[in-house]
Amino acid sequence: MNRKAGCILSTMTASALLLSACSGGGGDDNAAGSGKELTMWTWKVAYTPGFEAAAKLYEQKTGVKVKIDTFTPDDTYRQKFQAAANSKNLPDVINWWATAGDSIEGSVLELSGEIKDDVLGKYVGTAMDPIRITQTQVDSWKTDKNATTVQKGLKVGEFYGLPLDIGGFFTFYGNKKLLEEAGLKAEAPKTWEEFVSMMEAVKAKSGTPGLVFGAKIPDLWENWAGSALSIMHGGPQGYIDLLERKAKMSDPANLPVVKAMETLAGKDLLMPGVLSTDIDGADQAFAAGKAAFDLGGSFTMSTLLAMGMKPEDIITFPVPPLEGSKIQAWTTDPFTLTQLSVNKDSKNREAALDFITFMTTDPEAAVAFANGAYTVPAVNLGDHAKDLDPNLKSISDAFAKEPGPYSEASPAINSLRGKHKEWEVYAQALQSVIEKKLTAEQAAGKFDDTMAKLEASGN
Amino acid sequence: MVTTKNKWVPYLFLLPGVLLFLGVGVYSVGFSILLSFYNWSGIDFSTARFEGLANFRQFLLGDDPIVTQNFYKALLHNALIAVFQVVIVVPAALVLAFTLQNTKMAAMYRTVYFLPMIASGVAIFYVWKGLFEPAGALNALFQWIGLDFLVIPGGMLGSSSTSLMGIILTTIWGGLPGTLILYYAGLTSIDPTLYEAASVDGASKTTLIRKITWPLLKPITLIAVIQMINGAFQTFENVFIMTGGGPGGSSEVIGTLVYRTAFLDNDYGLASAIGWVSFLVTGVIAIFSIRSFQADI
Repeated sequence: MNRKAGCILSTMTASALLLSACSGGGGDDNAAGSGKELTMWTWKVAYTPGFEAAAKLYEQKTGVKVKIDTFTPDDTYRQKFQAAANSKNLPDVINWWATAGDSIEGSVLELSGEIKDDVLGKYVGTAMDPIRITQTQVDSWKTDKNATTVQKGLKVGEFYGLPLDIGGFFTFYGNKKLLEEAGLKAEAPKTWEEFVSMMEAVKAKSGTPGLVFGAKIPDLWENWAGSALSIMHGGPQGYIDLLERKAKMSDPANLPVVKAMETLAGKDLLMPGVLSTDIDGADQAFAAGKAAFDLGGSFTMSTLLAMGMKPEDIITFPVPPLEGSKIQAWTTDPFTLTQLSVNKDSKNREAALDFITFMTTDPEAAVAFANGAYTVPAVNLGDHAKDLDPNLKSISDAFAKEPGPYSEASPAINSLRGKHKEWEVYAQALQSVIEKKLTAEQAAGKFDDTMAKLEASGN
Repeated sequence: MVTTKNKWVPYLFLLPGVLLFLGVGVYSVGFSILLSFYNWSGIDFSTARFEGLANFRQFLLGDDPIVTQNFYKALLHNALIAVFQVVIVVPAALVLAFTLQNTKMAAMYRTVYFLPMIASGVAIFYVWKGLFEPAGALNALFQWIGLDFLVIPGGMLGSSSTSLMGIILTTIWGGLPGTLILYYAGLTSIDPTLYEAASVDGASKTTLIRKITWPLLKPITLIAVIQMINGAFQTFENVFIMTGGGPGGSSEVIGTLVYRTAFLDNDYGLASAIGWVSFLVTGVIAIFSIRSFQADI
């Protein structure tokens, strides 16, 4: 190779490197140019068939194609979003966790001026609750020295996405075969105490541990079961008082909830190794018959079926109340799981807005999405509900139709449980309770002491 | 021959590397230092808020008691990993290097010893996780050899008393080959005539090691120790995959704390500040190690 060719080659290499470093995803460029294609990102692999089915309907209706890219797991998706937002390389439509103040607000379109009541009225009652910014949140961010500038700039009533699907935590799944082998009726227990005795019976008969859940994630128990036990035991206001630091965990009204975990640990009812088990691992263990019960949400059923279980092998029931609870039965109060948002810099803004409205409110699109993604849509389906997959329909039918106790407590949960770090300490203390290294009283005491210390230091 | 006309050509070849270094290395390090003085959620730097030293005060001086507690706990865990690694890996690598040098089956042993260096960390740590599970190989081994009292019912990673020990074991396993290579190279580079001369003078095997081998390997030991300390304070992959820092924060290290703070809590300023303080701590320990070894070399 002569020198001249060498120079050209090296210049080209340098230019290529520079160009590749500076260029972005490029998908939206295509959309911007033709106006016939929208780009969309999601992190939910299981949702992709649903998105594709609904996108196909949208293409048939409008001629606009929607290209869907999936980036998983959650952390990777968050990082991908942040990198793309910083380089102004976001797609037209973004699937995101249904939340407000998650710092995406600077990058996506504020929709309160765009979406009117005729659209919002199509969603189930509480669907907009976690998405629409509340006075409690604004007040909380205003006084929180660690709140971001984005959070401090948000206003009451704003919303940055439309609700796509709803679901609920607080659901236990039981292995019907193991229960029947232990001489039990495969029926939902009426109280926590009855639930514990069922686990004991299974363990005594087959040696199979009672319960598995993703205890590797410290706050999972509180998010998926503990808060329901608390809300039922002391009523929603009792839990709100705890969140607002007006009550103590060691109060007689709250301590029984901590003791519920102590009972499971003390009677060796939890699957060995539960503290190193994540959500998927817990579902796998349950599907493999390594535990009689699994803690999950409405979304867990699809995972269990994908793992080879059959609906007739499983019983599902909501978190049962502790004896003496103020609320005697938990109604699975669904809340919005994910939302669809529009990139505020999208050159296909109108089309993107039209697509997310179609995706979240058109009954046919919602059914196509729901059946493909195995999740319950956030829109009121009316007569179209009959087109849902039968298992999905039964999950949907089990949801409470009116706002229940969880909805009452959820504004405080959304704004305070992450901010008040005594909950982080409590979650770790509960892990120590599982290990039998702390008693319920000691764990509650840790919560109370931390709360006092944090309050004293202005945190 | 380099002429006036083409003397810039070598620089042109260097350009991609230089640009890459400036763009990726210097920029990201500088930006990270800058970030540590800001409150920023990770998107659009125009929304960042200058906070001065608030991030540092938060975890160093107890402005936020929980973050402070998490930081010092994580730092202690990193220090423990470093201490165990140095104390166990240095003698083990030295012995193995001697074995490698003096065995006829060196090629086979080399393959076995260097396996951790070529194997994918993520895949291997999942294997380790399986070994440490309640029904995993480790507990099964203890049961099989009759050491039932060593069986951990919840698995090594599922107990706050032993999870860090599990992490340390994998760190030692991962750190051994690097040190072994250094010692093996060091041993093979020692002039054999030194040993011959000393033997002629009547030196015993122990004396040869004490008076010739060890002094000549001291600079290598210094490099190995610094490498291990540096590695221990950068521990992340194994903790993230195997325990996530739990149970109850018992295996949290600076790496997972920084990750959690930045990517889950969206607090990039605090995460950067924690990262830089950890870097300074590592630097101070490295300088201390260099000084103490230099006095001896």
